[in-house]
Amino acid sequence: MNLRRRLLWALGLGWGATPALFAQHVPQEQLLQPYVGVNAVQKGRVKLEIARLADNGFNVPLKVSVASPMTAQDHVRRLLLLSDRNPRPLIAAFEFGPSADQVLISTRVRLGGSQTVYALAQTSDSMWWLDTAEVEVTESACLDQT
Amino acid sequence: MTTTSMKNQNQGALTRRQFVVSSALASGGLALGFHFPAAAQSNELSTLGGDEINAWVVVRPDDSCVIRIARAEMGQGTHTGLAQLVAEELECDWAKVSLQTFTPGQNLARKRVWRNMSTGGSRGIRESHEYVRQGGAAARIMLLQAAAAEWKVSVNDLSVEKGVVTHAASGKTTSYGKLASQASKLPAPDPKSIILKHPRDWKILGKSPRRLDTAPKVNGSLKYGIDTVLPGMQYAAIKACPVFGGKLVSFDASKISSRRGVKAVVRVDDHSVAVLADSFWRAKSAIEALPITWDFGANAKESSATIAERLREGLTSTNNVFADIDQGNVTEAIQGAAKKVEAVYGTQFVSHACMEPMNCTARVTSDRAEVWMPSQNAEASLAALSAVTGLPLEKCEAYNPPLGGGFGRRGGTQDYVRQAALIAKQFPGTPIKLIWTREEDMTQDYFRPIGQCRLVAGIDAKGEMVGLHLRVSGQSINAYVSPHNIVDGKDRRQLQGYWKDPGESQLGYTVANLKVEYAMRNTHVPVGPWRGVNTNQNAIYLECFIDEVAKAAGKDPLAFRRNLIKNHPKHLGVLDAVADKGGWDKPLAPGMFRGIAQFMGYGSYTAAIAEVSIKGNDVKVHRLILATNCGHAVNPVQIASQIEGSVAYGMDSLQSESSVKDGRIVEKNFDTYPIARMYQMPKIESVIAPTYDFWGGVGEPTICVVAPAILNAIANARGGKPVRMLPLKNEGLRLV
Amino acid sequence: MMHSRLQIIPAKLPNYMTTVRVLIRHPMETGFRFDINGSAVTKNVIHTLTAHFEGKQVFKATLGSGISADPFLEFQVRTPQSGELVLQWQDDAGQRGEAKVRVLLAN
Repeated sequence: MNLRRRLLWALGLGWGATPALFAQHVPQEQLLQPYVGVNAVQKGRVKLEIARLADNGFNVPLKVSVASPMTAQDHVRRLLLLSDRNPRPLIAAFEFGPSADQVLISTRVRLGGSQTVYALAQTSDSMWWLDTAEVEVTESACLDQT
Repeated sequence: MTTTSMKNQNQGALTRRQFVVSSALASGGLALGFHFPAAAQSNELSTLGGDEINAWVVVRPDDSCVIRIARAEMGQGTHTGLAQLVAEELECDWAKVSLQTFTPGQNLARKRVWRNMSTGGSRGIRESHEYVRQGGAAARIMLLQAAAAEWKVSVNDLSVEKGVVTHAASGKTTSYGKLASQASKLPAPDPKSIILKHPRDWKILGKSPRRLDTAPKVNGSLKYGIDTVLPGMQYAAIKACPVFGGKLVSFDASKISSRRGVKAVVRVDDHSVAVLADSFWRAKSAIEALPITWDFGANAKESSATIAERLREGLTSTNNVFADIDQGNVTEAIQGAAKKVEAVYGTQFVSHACMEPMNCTARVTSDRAEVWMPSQNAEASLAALSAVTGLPLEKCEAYNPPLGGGFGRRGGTQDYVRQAALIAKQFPGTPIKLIWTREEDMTQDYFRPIGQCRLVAGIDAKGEMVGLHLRVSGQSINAYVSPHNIVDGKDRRQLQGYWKDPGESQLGYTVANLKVEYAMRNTHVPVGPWRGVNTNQNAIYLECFIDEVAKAAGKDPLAFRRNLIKNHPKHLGVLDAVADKGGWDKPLAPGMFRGIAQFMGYGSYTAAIAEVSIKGNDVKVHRLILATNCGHAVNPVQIASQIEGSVAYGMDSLQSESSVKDGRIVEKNFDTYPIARMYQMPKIESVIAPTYDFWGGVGEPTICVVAPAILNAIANARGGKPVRMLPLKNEGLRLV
Repeated sequence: MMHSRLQIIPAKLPNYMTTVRVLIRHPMETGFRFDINGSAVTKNVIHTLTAHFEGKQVFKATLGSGISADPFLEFQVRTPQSGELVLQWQDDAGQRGEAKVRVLLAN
């Protein structure tokens, strides 16, 4: 159980507080299953960079890269950014064509509270690769409970 | 159930001062119990000449222990309480304890070893008590292991008290100061192997050791954020558009730039302008003379009247409303009832009114940014600074001294940090001290959200409430600051205190036919958490109405409540405790009237009785008894102090209002926004009744019962005529 | 017409990566915000963005409410020769946007 979830339990989830009161963290398996199905997911090749602390969560810079030669035989098919806490788990999905070069993407995301962000990549051999980053969204953490 | 009855220390200003001074002297010369970083040379937290046993505990050769504290101190005593938690398990000498805070940068550099620094939601102790106690216990274990290794004996044959380790069999003793160096090299024990002390064995917890910050606060040596002084510092005064949502069009700097000491006039963001000068007075006077053109926008048409109209519509609308509880058949039950009671209550915007106005000192260069500010979450301040300057977290730092009041204003809303950083960015290398005037502070707040509530009850022939329909129509805090936190369009947070589920803020009454609804009706006024958040207005709505229903049923308000609350033993417990302490059954002197209220918030149960008298339109609150069950009582005197403070804050909300005219807040200072004064304060008696089977909050739970208890007493004093639309001046009443 | 800023940092040599940077003015309305009457503001986000180089799709992004307002995206495209890079996007309300730039390789 990651730190954030442990703190949520300490706050009262364990004492029967209604889960619907505030957003839950989706466990990794449940979050990735719609995309990977029963396939294994390995940590590696993907590098997700987000600052450890984010201000209010509305505009969080994010950089993600995948180590891949990007040849016809060995390339990244798609890359997904997922949130274990946002109301909509899929943040973005990227597809790469034959002319894609490096997979190196920068964007700005909305994070609905402290959470773990997942970067999930599928390579041309149908393998799945993962990196995660924990982000403390400080403004929302200051509000009671939510 | 353990009951501790703490008599109010505040028998009169002189007596309290004597108590505080003598207590500080009695401590025996521990000059300053704090170590606050003013400017970190590096990301390494100093060990102050001692050895760091673990992240939480440093032991120095003279046996003194430095305890690391993660949360902010805003007068609520959390620093002392957190130190007590560690010291209890550490088994050190409390007289030799001092505490040390660290910066968010230092926390990050150690991968957040001290975890959450956020201080709000009454969570400071209840969220961290377990892991900080484990930190103290782990340090004790390592120190004992060091002694055991030195003496080549088993750890089990050692005992420790007040930092002195004894091996009974041989009579050998040593002290923590001598063991620290060795202990610091040992591996940390497995957290799962640590067994924390049972409350019955507590020596420091549950007692009321003197607070570590009282002396410096009284003798003036404590430095607040507003006291920050840095070489080459300039002062900034700021004006944001008085109408929320409006824009800054232009300003004529030429009209003030020749004034003595004025350095610059700058646009801060799209709705604020600031003046920099070599003193705050000069900056403030200059900005008052600065011609500014605003585009107020459509919100200029909003007023308290337009807002009230929108809230009224929500009371009976079928749009944008949801039922959080809908059990039985409320419509039928009320229709078929022998008697019906209906009322509409209204509560106003209130301001935080921290004694220390918003302020922040910032220094920004191309590769480093620093801020010094009072904040309820130093990590939030750091994150805001990083976002505004574009510098990564590693190149930023935030220094967070004790706060002159927080109350929820200085946590989730870091606007003052962003402003100071935006100004400082324009003057690289120059420290800029931004201070808000009282007027700016009072009109640019994140206010307690405005609301109204319609309640309808049905009473049967026996005088029992068979149905209750409650609908809150009011502004949503989540909708303003974090709408994504509203799940399925249902903002349950606005119904704090009315929740069915136990643990945090549960409704204590059982009603067979019950409907609790919330209609979201927003305004353009920024809202945020105000100490107690939604338990404040929700307690007023329900507890004042319950008194009306009791009267209509011909029942005593306490007996009426006891009947409704019988399935909720902890709610009943504090109700009984306050009735007992307040002598509910004893007659009052002529002209004195009582009111009672109970509510639950932040994991704790509270009830209050107020005794008031009225002469014409003047209301005098003579006595207030308040009982709380917060689970575990870390520092009973501190809890009593929190209760007293919450009485003052609750009384503020009875007599003051932040009203809206032409889109802006009208009340700018304490002349039109009065807060509780010493002469208004009642005699306060606290009953602390912890049951030791949970950990509830203390900072906020006690405030919500203050206003309804006083309002119920006022209603009784007026022959049953309730006060429904706050503040009191709406009924021509005032506190004296 | 959605205003946007498209910037490229072309490759120094053919077949190397060109960095594409685009910033689009768009509220990316999440659908979770509420208006003054408590009604949810209708969701409207840019849901698809594609990049074509010389007529061939080289990149596709599916975006959602988890992307910040005024979406910013930076990605890499292989550009074997000089040519035209076309970015196109569409939002939930059916509005389309486009930005074109000529990629000129140093050699």
